[in-house]
Order: sequence, then structure tokens, then C-alpha cells
Amino acid sequence: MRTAVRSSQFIIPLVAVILLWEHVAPLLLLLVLSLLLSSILSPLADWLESRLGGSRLLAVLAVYGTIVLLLAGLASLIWPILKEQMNAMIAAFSVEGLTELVANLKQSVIGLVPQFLRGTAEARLDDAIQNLPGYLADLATRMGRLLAVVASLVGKFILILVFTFILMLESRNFKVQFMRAVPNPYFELALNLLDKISGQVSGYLRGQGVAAATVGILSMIGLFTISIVMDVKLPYFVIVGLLAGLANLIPFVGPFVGIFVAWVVYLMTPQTAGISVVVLGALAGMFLVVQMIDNFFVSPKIMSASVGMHPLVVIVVIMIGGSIMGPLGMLFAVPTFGVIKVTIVEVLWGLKAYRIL
Amino acid sequence: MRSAIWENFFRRGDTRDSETTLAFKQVPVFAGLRQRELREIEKIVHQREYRAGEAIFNHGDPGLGMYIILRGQVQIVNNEDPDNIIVYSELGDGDFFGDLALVDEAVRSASALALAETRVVAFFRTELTDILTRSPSLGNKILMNLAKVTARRLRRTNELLMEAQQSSNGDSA
Repeated sequence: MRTAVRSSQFIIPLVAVILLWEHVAPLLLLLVLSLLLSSILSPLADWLESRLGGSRLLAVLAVYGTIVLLLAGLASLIWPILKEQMNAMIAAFSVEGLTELVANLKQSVIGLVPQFLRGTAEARLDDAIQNLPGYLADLATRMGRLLAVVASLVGKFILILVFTFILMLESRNFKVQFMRAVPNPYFELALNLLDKISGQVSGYLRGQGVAAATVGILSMIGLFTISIVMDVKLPYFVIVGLLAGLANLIPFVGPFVGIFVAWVVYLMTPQTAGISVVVLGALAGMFLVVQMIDNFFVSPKIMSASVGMHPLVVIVVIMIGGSIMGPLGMLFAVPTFGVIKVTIVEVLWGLKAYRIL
Repeated sequence: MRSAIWENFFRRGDTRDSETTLAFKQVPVFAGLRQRELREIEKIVHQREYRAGEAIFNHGDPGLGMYIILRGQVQIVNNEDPDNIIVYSELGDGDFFGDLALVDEAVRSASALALAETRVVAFFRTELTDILTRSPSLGNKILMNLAKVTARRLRRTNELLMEAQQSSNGDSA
């Protein structure tokens, strides 16, 4: 009888979710994202709780306050530069601006192209210059759609913040309530899995975040240093750094994204001393050094060995992510796969440890 | 006339013991803890009910933590070999078992079976780690108590070993 009551605590909500799937699915996704965010932030709340006299509410409010202050500080530091660089980029994306940039690129690249390919390269670039207005009109439509998506994302982001707040505040109570519904034979297994999975997933996500931030900040510093030391113009270094940090979420491929974008920016910017292969080499070298710092000093300290992935798996996962959600899917495919892999590894361990498998 | 607002404003926390905090007071691991601290622990522990014959944990399972018996009866047995079941002890109301798993990740060395309708409280390593992170002074009290329990058992084991050695020396003489 008791088992039936306990099981019904699982079965009734499950049936309700299946029946109302169309309406529940978007909320469920937001809830999963909130769970992931709360698992990243909870250790900070726990630490603050010990310093704020054991008040969970104060600790969670302090976490939110810290995040707002950090974001505000970062925004006030980066925003003026970012705004200036964005404006410059938007100006460059006008028909005239882009024509000039492609013309610059044409001049820079043609010198580097072997003699026998020069004719074909020139013809291709001339074609690109002629077709630019068409491309831009298409881009404007896409940007309009992107803005609508961004507006709906802001609403969802606020919901995620509210969900995360509640989850962080009530995490222990939710855990006790959830475990109450688990039948006796699976109680220890379920609790062990819950703890191990949440620990591994939050560690993995925090590790990814720290590694991405490290690569992003180091890339910005590197690009700025190269522009000063080698006396070259490298505008948009903040945007390139941010992109390099984000691309770091994709193993193997990520580092090359930074090099590629930095090269394109360098080649498209009119340089007083002309284009130099040494600068291109320095840019690539800088990104490789940043990668080495991340791979040898940062990631090994923060990443668990259980999330290591074979290059072939990474490529397949990125392709699947791309086909499901486009560029955003490609970016988040590997972290998502990492979370799923960690979960499967821990579930298999649990089933073996409790001799169910 | 009594004002509900003022009464609520000046209301002191309920100082009565619950069934769980009463059981905690009998467990050496929680010795010397204040009422407020026992209530903090009460919020994060798991209460379970087992039918007669049901296993609480089995020999060879990963050790997660301790159980305190609120009501009922539990038998600690080695049932690895069904033809040769060894009963280590039978425990009742207020008794506790599995406490070494709070500090050690080794697998369970015996099985715990409910002999009658049994209500227990489970306090696991994750909860202890959680307490150590957010309330180090409370966590340290519990760890100190655990160390005392372990030291007492070690001393008792040494005494038994010495007695066994002395009796084996006496036999050989």
C-alpha cells in the first residue's frame, strides 16, 4: 500500500506532464536550465551561508547581489569599449563600409596568394563586392528576426532567474521531498546518484565557465599587447576575445575560431605598415599560448577526467548540435553532451555498485 | 484581548522536542549539540519506514552514512552466504548503526534488515559535508563526536585483542 502511495507520487505528475506535454515542454526546458544554473551557483551560496549566520535567504540574495555587481562592474569596464567597437562594426557593415573592407581584404590577400591563383582570387573578390547589397539585405532581415528572438530570450532569462532563486533557496527541502517518493530498495542508490550527478555536473559546468572566461580575458590582453608592441591596428579586440572565450566551449575547434576571427579583423583593417606575415604568426602564436595556459594550468585543475571526449565524438556532437539548433547548437552541443555523459557514467556506476546491472 | 500580531512578533521558537530531535539526543554523534543545531539537522535528514523483513542496506553496497532507529527493530547480519547467516546484533528504539560510513567510503560490511515495522532517520555523508561547508562549528562538533566514538571502539577492540592474546598465552602455557 505504502509503495503504491509512493509510486503514485511519481506516476501522477508523470502522466500529467505527458498529457500536457505541448504546454509543459518549454517550461521544462527553462526548469532544467535553472537547475543547471542553481547547481553552478549553490556552492557560492553555501559558502556565503556559513559567513552570514546560517541564513539561506541572505546567502541567496547575496549571490544575486554579487552577480549583479559583477555584471555591472564588468559592463561599466567593457561596455564603453564594446559599444565603440560595435558601432564601428555596424558602420563597417554598411554597403560602403563592407565594400571598403572587402577591398582592403582583397589588397591584403592578393599579395599573399601565389601568382597562378591570383586571377581567380581577384575575380572571386570582385564578385563578392558586386553581390554585397543583396547579402546585406538578407542580413538585415535575419537581424530583425534575431532581435525578436532576443526579446523573447530576455523574458525567459528573467523566468530562469526566478526559478533559480527558488531552487537555491529550497534546494535541501526539495531534495528531502524528492527522496521521500523513492521506494525503499532504491533509496540509497537514488540519493547516491543524485549527489554524485549534481556534484559532477556543477563541477563540469563551473569548469567550462572558468576555462572560457580565462581564455576570453587572456585573449583580450594578448590582442591588446600585440597591437601595442607590434604597432598594428587590431580593433574589436574585446569582441574577438569574447568570441574566443565562447568558442572555447568547443574542444579542438574552439582555438582556431579565435585565430581565424583575429586574422580576418587584422586583414580587413587598413594597416599603415601593410600586411605582415609576422603579425599573422604572432596572432596565431598568442592564441596557441592562451590554449596552452588553459590546457596545462587551468583546465586540469578544474575539469574532471570523466568528461574527456574523443575528437571524433566531438565532431559528431557538434554536427548534431548544428543540425538541431544551428550555430548556437554547435556552441552548446559539447557542454550538453558533457552533462549527459557525466550523468550516464554515474548512473552506470550506481547500477553496478548496487548490483542491479 | 491578545493580539495575534504581537503574539506572533514576540513568539519564541517552539522549544518542544520532536520525535527526531529526541532520538538525536540519544546518539553520541550528536552529543552536546544545542536544540537549534539539532533542528537544523532535522531539516536535512531523511525519514524512512521499512516493513518487517525489508533490507535497509545490503552487504557490499557503497556506505553512505548512518541510520538512527526512531521506532522498531533492526538486525545487523552477514547474509552473504544464505546457508550460514551470522547475526551480529539486534538494535531497537534510539540505537544507531552505519556511523563509520559518515567518514569512510568503504562498502557496507554487513546487511541491515528490519525485523518489525521500523521507522528510521538517515543522516548521510553528503549532509555532513553540507553542514561542514555552511556551519563549520556545528560540523566540527559532529566530527569530534565521531572521532570519540571511533576512539572508544578502537580502545575496546584493543582490550578484546589483549584478552584474547592473554587467554591464548594461558592455554599454550
